Amino acid sequence: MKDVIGQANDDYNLIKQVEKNKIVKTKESRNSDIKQAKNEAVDQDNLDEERKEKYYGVNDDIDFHRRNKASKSSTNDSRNDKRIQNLQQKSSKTDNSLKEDIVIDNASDKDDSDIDDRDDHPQIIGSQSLQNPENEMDGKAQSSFDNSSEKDTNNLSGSGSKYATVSILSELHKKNVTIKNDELNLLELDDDEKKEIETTTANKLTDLIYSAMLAEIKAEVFPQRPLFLLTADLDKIELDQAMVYLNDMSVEKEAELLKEYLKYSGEDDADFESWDNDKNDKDNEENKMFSDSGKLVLYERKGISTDLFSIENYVDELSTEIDDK
Amino acid sequence: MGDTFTSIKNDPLEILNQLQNSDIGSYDHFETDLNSIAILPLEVYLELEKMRKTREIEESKSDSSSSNGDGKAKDLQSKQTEVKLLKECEHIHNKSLFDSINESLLQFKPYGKDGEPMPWSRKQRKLQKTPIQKDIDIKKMFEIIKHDMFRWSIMQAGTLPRREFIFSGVFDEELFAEIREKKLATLLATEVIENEYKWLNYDFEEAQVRVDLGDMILEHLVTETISLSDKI
Repeated sequence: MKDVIGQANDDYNLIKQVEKNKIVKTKESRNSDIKQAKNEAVDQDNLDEERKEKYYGVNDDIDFHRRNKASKSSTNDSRNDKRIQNLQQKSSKTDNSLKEDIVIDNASDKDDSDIDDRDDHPQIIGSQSLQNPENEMDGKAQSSFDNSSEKDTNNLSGSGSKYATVSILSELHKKNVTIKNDELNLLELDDDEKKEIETTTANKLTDLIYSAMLAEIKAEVFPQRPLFLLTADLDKIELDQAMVYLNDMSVEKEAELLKEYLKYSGEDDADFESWDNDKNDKDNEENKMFSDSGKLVLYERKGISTDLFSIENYVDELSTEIDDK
Repeated sequence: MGDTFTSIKNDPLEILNQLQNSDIGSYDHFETDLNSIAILPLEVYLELEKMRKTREIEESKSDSSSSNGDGKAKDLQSKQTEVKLLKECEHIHNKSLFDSINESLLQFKPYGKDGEPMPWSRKQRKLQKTPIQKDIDIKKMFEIIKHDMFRWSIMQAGTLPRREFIFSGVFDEELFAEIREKKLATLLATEVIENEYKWLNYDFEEAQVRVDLGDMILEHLVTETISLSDKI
């Protein structure tokens, strides 16, 4: 009996020893896990910082703005005033020069598919300025570049380029508005001529939006929403008006934009060739063609209503459907 | 909608297994698979989308018949692809709304998202598990859901760049970053407040401690018995 109990006791002690060892081991492994997790967290933080700098270029700007808030606003104002004065001078040209200005490159405008023609396009000033930000930058961007001289070469895809595009777009639009409102009346043109000029300027603006969007995508500004320009950058253009211009954009350009967007967001495996070939083809092909982000681009562009009214409508529809059942 | 007023029932054996295996202080039991407890089935969503589609087709037909112009018909054809893609986007948006409604509906269940208390729980039980039929007001329920949806929608966490951030042709980075930060902070604060009850509900932990204590007492008793029998 004693032997049996002694045997059992030994066994029990052995099991206890094994369990203790296990606990020690798990403690050790847990400690190593914690260390690994800490290292990973540090790496993640570094990565996040890199990402922030790459995509937004926000941090430097914010710090700088906080330091120089007061001085910056005054310089900005004075520079903006100068820009407005320049614009006013430009808009007060003679009749003939204006007419030439408005009907620029009519033939190239009609050819929507020829993207290379944009070399002469005013927006290209914007993309050139992406390469030489010092030349075209407005006050804020200029000062931010002055203060981040180390990053000048890398920061071209950051915040500076965005300001350049924005300012050029707004200037061009202001010019367009001035032409529309004031100068067309002075020219005393026929209705047909007026219409022609209006459509030409509208086409030009659509092209401009396209070029600006392309530049923004290439500059990797706000990669999560490259269509930032549609609703934000078009200073003084009403959202509805911008939507009209965007809806006039040709299918080829739209596809080009999506292609670029997906390329820069790392989803360049989408098949875009079928986009041009068979536009009216089956749903399946379209689904293959566009990834979710591609759909999002269109989603944003076409302005599907996602406001509170649409939510209310949907809930109401569902409730009536359930009520009926 | 019949499922709305029946409580969620969890398998006690599964929960016991979770109690045994998970570490004390872990929060795995916080996560609930909303798809498995959805009240409105996916068919309702599909049916609704189908209805919308047929309605839109009818509307487009009536539009095209009223216009009668060949040019307009061609325009419509050329925009067909575009419209299809647009519809796809709408489906995605509607699905997200549908899922949100489903989540909001869970609040009307007798024990909410948590489900019925486990057999070993000392939580108070409800005698009236299903509501009285005449007291159910679907309209009122959907008003509450609507309110929830609005609340979630206006949160706007992860604010995107908008034209409102442009002042005299310049995008205000500082303001943008500030608003983003604020919205994120609001989201986190709201989540903390809304989920506070989960952190104060120690049901799971209590049961876990009880199981552990039981194991320890058993171990102690066995050791004692062995040592006593050793002396005999």
